[in-house]
Amino acid sequence: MDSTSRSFARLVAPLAACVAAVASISLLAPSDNFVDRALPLYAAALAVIALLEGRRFGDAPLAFALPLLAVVRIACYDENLRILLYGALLAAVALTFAGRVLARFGRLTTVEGLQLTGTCVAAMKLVPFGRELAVAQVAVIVGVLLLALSLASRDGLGAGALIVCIAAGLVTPLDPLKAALFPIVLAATLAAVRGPSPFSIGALIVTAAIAGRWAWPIAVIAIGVLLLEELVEPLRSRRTAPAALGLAAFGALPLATGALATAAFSPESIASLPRFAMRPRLAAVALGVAALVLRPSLGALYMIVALALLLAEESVGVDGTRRDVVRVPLVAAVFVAAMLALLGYSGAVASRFPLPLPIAATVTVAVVALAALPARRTPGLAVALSAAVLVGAIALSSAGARGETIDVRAVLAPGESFERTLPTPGDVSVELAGGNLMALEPGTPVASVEAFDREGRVVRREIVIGDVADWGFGRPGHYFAARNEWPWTTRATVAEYGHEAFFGGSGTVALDLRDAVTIRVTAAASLPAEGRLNIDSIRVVRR
Amino acid sequence: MTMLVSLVLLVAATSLAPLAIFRGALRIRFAYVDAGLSASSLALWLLLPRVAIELDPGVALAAFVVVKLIAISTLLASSHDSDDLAWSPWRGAFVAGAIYLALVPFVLSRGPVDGDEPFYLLVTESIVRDHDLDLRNQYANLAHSEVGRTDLVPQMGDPVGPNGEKYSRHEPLLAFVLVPGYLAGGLFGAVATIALLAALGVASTLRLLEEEGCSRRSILVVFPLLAFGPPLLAYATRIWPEAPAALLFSEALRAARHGKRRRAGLALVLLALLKLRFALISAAIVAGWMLLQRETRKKSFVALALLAIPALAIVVLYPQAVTVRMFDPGDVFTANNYARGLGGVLVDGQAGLLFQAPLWLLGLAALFRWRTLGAAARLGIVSTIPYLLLLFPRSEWHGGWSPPLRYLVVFVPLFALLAAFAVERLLARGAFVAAAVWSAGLTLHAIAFPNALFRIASGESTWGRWVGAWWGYDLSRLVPSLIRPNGAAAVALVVVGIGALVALARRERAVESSLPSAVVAAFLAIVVASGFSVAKMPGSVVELEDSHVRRDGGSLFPAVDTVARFRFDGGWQLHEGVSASFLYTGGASELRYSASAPATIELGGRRFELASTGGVYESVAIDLPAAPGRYTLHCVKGDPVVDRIAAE
Repeated sequence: MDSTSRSFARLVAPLAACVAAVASISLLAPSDNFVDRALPLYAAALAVIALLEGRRFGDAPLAFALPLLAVVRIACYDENLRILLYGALLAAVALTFAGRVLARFGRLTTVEGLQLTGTCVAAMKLVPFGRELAVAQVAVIVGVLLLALSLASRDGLGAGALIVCIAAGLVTPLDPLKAALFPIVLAATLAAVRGPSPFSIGALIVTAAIAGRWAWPIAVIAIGVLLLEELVEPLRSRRTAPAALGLAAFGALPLATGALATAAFSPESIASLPRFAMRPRLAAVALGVAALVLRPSLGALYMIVALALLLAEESVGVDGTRRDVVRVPLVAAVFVAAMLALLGYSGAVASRFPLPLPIAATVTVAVVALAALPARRTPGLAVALSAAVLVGAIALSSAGARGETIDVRAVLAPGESFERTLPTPGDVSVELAGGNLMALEPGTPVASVEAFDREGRVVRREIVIGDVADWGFGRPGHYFAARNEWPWTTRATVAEYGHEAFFGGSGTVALDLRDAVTIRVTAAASLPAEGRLNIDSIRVVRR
Repeated sequence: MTMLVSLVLLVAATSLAPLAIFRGALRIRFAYVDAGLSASSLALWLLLPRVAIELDPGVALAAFVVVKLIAISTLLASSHDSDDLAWSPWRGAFVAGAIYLALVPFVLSRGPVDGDEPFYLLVTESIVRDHDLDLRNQYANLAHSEVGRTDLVPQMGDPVGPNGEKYSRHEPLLAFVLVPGYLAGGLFGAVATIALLAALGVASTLRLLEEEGCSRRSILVVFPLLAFGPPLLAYATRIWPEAPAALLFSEALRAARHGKRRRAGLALVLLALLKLRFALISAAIVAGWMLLQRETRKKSFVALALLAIPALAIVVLYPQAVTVRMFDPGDVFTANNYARGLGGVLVDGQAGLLFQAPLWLLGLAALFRWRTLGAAARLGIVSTIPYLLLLFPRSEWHGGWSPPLRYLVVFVPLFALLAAFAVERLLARGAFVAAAVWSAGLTLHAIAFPNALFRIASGESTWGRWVGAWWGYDLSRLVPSLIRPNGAAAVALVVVGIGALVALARRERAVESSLPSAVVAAFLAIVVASGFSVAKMPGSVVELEDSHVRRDGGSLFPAVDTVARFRFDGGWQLHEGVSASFLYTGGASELRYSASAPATIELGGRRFELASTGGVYESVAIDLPAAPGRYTLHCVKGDPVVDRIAAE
């Protein structure tokens, strides 16, 4: 038997049989949910990765994920958990394959990288598949493949490049169509930066022009820096100003997401930020990221540009070998695992990238991870610290979840008020969201909330965009153009599935008054005429 | 609050106890893994509610514990040759004990003590409070008992004294052993006592493995499945004599192996006192030992006579302890019963080794290498024979109302010994990994739902119930069952038989599996898809009490808490207006039912009059349309108990 026939008998045919078996289960178990209906797509994605593994290592134990996928479909009756498990399986398989290859060979071949990123992005972006979005969906996948090509070196693709490609695929909106060109714009930017030529610069200009205004700063900065490098070479010896600019830009990121994400990718890179910023190319990245201040909803896109440019920068080691500037530790793998595991809610994750959790929760998780820092010298202390933080955080979050929730579901027009006497006095918080308020800038007043106790004491709080947001502003199709920003604290859960998923923009407003007995919410009279304030619920915690 | 205490204890036990066995670079690796798991768990805890997944905190905590145990076990097994591994049986037992103790409040918070447990505890309470074994006042004041069960009544066959004293039929040794723990911490203290004894059992078993010459690698591979896998884990936090019996069995084998007669004698006597059925094991060990040692007949007779004393004492003091366990008419020594019991212990989906402790089943392959087994292993194997010969034909071979493999827990040290031998010389890595993964799932189920381990021996497996209840398909008929013998069991037995023949024929373990993983995966995927497809088809037999039957009323008959319910023909009691629907092939059928008064039912659009059977089960022929599909049985009049409908 020649190698082609052997490969077919040992790999291709069995994997095809696996996919067919999963597809038959999908037919036997019809579902209203389009994520369930996409089971054959997920099976095909798993099979592709198993095939890559088999070709690389001779055997494909990752193929066992396919029968497991079938079992999950049959045996897991909680719809949301089932969808999470589909993603978790794909994440586990993709990371295991990439981890095995990177650990043994250092890099994936370019073809492997293209297949892996293409598969992962297709699983995230093609569900649900619709004719009206087909062009955008194809554009994203093609764009990610181009991006992978532009990040590839002669040796293939490193871990960082994989992460950037998958993240770019995740955050790219499908609506509007011009925004779906983001991976192509990024690929063109990288091509221009890595190999400046009239052709590459021209390509960047054309793609940015087609993509629209959001892409222009990226192109302008990239081209500007290239010109700067050529024209202001003598200034490179005096690096103080670019360094300061770079640091300031990172510090100015909304929610400090840039710094936190950079830390997540590589804690060591925080220390080396000044060094990065001294390079004109990376200073440009920092400036590009600073543009987030102007358009918060573009934050994720700009940050990925920054990361891509950082990863594109290669340095030469003392032994003459090339290596990535940004190393990819375990934390980054967890980060990718989260993106893939949540593919059933990819739209919602994309809008909160890179922090799908509330900021406080993310900080808590980061603290647990930081507890591992003393592990090298005092591992016992690290274990005790992380255990203590885990228990403390769960106890705290459980305590926060106590109390009685009163469903209100009231809608206020501008200037209207709502008043409710509470069944039992206690600490009170209100869950509010806006309606038709997507165009409002952060800081715009939308309501006031007052709480009264039995003695007549009153606490009043002015609510602005930032405390709450328009409920549907994170919805794909709206998010790209919306001016709101995410509330700091919220109990909103995900709505819809796949790339249509989004988090509601409701925010939790707590009032600092012991034993409140009455609460009053008044919508700001300055709201637009069609604007509304939704009062979702009131939570009362008895002391 | 209990959940928070459990969280603190379990996080502490799974994070700090392993520091006793990891040193240097291994400890650093463990610290990183531990922190990573903590961060990931916290992220999931905070994230899942955001994606509308309602978390049962108990299940989440159980999953966390299992993931930590997998991480610890993997690190342990992968570093068997590391100098940074401070391993010893006692350290291993320390880790196991810490986790058992941490599990106690969690398990008790998930459900009340069940089965025989409350009765042992009542005896302990009686000893502590009244200084006697009479349980009358305990039954009269159940509200003041630590048991937490106010529904208790004397068990069937409990001895009654001349003045109306109510005794428990259970041997009192375990109740005495629980006294210090009970005095220290009530119910928690009593269960903690069992946890400590189970940890000692782990230590003793690990020492036995070392003394038998098992390599460190095989010991470290088997240790997690021994300590944290089924069935020991389920019994380590339950008031049953099984875990202490495993300790005594292991100690007896070790002492016999070293020729320490007094220690062996003490262990064997205690084993016999712990539960009368264990006297068979004690006697077999003595006889086997004498045989292997070629002792004189006189010495053998004296040893057996000494052992008979405690057994006779129990018989004299508690005649009911024997009579209640006398075989009922169904328990006869026939080939059929033996085949059913043996087959069930091997492959039954609810109570067999294949599904409940797969590594122990794989370890049985070592039996084919009798000549290369150590002295303790051979003695252990011999000692099981009389016990198993009495167990197999019993109608309660599956253990009754208890966690699975109840009657085999005592042999866990022997299973571990055989498994270590098999891991070292016979088992392919893939087979071991498959068994370990399945066992991890069993452990998760056992920790998350400890009371779900008690099942009514209906023949439905956990899988069958789970999937059947959701889809409304009869999946149970595809899961091997010898409680309710089915074709799947025959297939499973043939597969196990072929596996045994392969193990017998093959001299050494294959270094590499000859089958590519993708081919095996494809086979599994096709089995799953085919199984689901077949399960979706209407069956030719419908048991009305099964979970796939959709009912809008009525009740299980007899009730779940009926003593020795497995001896009854089960069924579902219908009342007027109650309906049940199920997938069925239709056609000429036989309906088995019981009715104390005439009843009328509608099935498949036809009306049937059921005559009174005087409360016993009878079958009646009914003619249904030969149209496979979903049928609805509607009770028009009366309260019949319908057991099953089967196509002729």
